Amino acid sequence: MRLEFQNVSYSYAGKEAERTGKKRKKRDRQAEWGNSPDARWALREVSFAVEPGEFLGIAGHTGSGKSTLIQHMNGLLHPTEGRVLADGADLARKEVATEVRARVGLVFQYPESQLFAPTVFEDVAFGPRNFGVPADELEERVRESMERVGLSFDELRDRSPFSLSGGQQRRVAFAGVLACRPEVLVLDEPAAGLDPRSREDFLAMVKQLHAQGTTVVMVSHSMDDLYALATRILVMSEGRVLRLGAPEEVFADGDALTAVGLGLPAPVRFANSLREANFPLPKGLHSEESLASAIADALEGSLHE
Amino acid sequence: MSHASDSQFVNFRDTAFSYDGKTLVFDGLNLSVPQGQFLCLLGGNGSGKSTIAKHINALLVPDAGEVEVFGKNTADPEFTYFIRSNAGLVFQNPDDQLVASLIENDVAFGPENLGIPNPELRQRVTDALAEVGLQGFEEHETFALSGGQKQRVAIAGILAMDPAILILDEATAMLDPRGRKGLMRVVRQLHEEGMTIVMITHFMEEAAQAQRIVVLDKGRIRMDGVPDEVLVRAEELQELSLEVPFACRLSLELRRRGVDVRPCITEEALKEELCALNSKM
Repeated sequence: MRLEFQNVSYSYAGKEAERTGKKRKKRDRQAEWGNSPDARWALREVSFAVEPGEFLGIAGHTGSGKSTLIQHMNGLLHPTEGRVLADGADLARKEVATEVRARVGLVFQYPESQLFAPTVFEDVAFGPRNFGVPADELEERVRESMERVGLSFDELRDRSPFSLSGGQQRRVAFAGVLACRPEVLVLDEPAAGLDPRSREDFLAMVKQLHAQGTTVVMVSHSMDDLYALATRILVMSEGRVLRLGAPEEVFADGDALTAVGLGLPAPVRFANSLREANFPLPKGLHSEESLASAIADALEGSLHE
Repeated sequence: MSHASDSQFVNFRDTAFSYDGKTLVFDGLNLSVPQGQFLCLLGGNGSGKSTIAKHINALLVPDAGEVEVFGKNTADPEFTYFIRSNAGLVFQNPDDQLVASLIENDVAFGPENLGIPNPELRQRVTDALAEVGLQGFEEHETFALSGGQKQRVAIAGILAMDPAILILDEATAMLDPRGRKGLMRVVRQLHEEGMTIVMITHFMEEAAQAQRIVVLDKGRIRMDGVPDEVLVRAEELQELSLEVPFACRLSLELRRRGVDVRPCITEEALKEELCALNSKM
């Protein structure tokens, strides 16, 4: 599925006005735009598309609009202005949003806080059951998605999700989304708060889902994770798209990122700092291995000068 | 507070503890923390680090052996109150720890319960907020704060009780990079002013700022030393499912390629080493 954002702006104040039934003129909204202290524009004129099969990383500081952005991807929020199109159909239409919600799986930050059912089975089955998966197919779905996240179906199906460890709880919540078999998986900081081992496991799992054909959108504060996983990176700042492109391009402009409070992936950061100290290093050093080789070559080179 | 003559603030002696009466989290644990030290506890899930933290302020008491804090036995109910008011514990989730809707009320909650009267109470709140870089936030509402600011309010609430030890149990885990840096700045500053600090974290760049690192594995102390010694033991750390700092991973890769650098734990140190090599050639 292709999710296209066309000039999307979103205002939380706009939403309040909608709720209280007050009609607001377009002129009033424009007056608020950026020059009023009460302006609550979380997104401003955002245009881009999530392409089928890609792994889109989203970076941005807290408050940059990342979470608001991803909630537009399955119609949880609707643009105050502009449109979001799912394969060309406008997500603002109720019937489109209902259909898309089953195909775009959204995993919030700390999803384990949303577990609610008495058993793991019931929790994982909740989504697909609501999307109309027949009862006889349900068990298969739950088993498959639990195995994909590395949980044993037979051991855990009847356990209370609340008796599990934090890392396992997060897997249960994740399995609940996978059980709907989404084409697009949208993840908000999936590894936040996990210990290093669970972090690695989790990211490896996401990587595998992408390799198997799922489109992945991942919000992360870790530039190293985005660098390692994403095929494209979108950088948000103050509700706008600051950068969009291949990781190489985006991280080439380190100053622009530091200006909005973001860092660079460790290998890029260290290579830049050595270049300043007159180490001739090539571009595109992704890993410690390639960086170490380039540094060794540079030292070797200066030896033979 | 009047400090015990013993300079060890915390003393675990042959301590054993179990949550369920069956599986021991640790058994025969010995650990001392001298006054004024900045200690970091590292370890994977289930290594016992949080359980140790909860023993330091008598939230938990050992099943066998003893824990002394400020020279007082934590198992003696007579000292529980004294120990709790002098060893402040900050947890992971900023949303779980604030009790009031106005910042000044939240920070005043602890000292008020200790019976601190005005105007000293007000002064303590003002000072504590200044200490964590939130001066002038007294009348702001807690819900509108960022995660990092909430954690700093939680710390201010503890500082207002004038504790001798600050324990941070993954207090930065749920913060964004800027929030983490801000919190670490506060912790370092408190340590420089003489506070004893026990910090649990998964972030190696934070562990590198401590004076001493204790690495735990299934309730046992596997390593104990200064960051420069501990964080370069890459293979052992990985075996314990801990991360190795980037600079250290890179220095080991360089050594594998015949580049003669010391294993460094910070990027600055590694850069210096490399620049020295470059100018020699």
